[in-house]
Amino acid sequence: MSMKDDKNNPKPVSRRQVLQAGGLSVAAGMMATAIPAAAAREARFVGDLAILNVALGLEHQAIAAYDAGASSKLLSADQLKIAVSFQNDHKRHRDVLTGFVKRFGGTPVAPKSSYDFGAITSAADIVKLAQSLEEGAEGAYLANAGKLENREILNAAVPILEDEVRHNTVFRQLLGMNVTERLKY
Amino acid sequence: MIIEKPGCNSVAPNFDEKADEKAKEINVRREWLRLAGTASAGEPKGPETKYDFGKLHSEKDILRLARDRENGAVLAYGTLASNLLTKAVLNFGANVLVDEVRHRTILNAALGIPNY
Repeated sequence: MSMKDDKNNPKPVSRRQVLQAGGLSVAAGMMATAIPAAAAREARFVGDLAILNVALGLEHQAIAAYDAGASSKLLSADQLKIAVSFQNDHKRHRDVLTGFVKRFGGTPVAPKSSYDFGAITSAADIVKLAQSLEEGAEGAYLANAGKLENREILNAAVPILEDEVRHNTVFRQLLGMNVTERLKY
Repeated sequence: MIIEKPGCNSVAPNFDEKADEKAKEINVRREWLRLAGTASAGEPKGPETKYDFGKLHSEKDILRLARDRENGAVLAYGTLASNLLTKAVLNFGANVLVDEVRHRTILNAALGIPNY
């Protein structure tokens, strides 16, 4: 059985498919011109684009949460070190996801102007918030990994999923939560 | 029992890794057999009759052995995920990957290897 596929080398997309998928209106005089490659890619991977943008929204939220935690001055030096390291991971994820959305002809979702993380009055509140967000992200990436059609995007999503699991596990350990049983999604 | 020190006790006695691995083996076998009915697949690979893990003198040796195995599994599943063409197998592989990363993270912590 061949382990290769042709998902990254798609067959030419028909003009009809692009128009249907993208809802584009093309003037008659432009019909003879070549379809932009980005539009063709978007048509083929429209489902992937939606997933990427949801994931990007989660990354924006995580980055903001770590900002809130760091600026609260409630974290110990060690906790802050973890928070900064994990936030850097999320910034890297954000950049990767944004790059893919743009490359495939989509518009990257922007961060919200503000996020409501509830009342943060202790370091434990911050760790609980971070753990909750990381677990949500872990579940989201896991649930959607199998839905990605583009192999290149899937290749990029796998290490992101690994990061989310690592973050979640570290926080679960810090909070004294069970880490020896698999999570139920 | 070599694993005796408190730092490792916090991980090892409660660690459900063996159960996870057994469940994975059963699921991989089941999935393989299911696919064998619909696609060209070989026989499920059985365990070797013997494994050489070298000399294990201390709890650290055991934890390091386990950590290295988990790390290898993370790399293997992570690298090969995008080669899986069947969605069901990919989903299954992603779930296994999550377990492997969790195991590696716990073992890293037990060994004092930074997780960040």
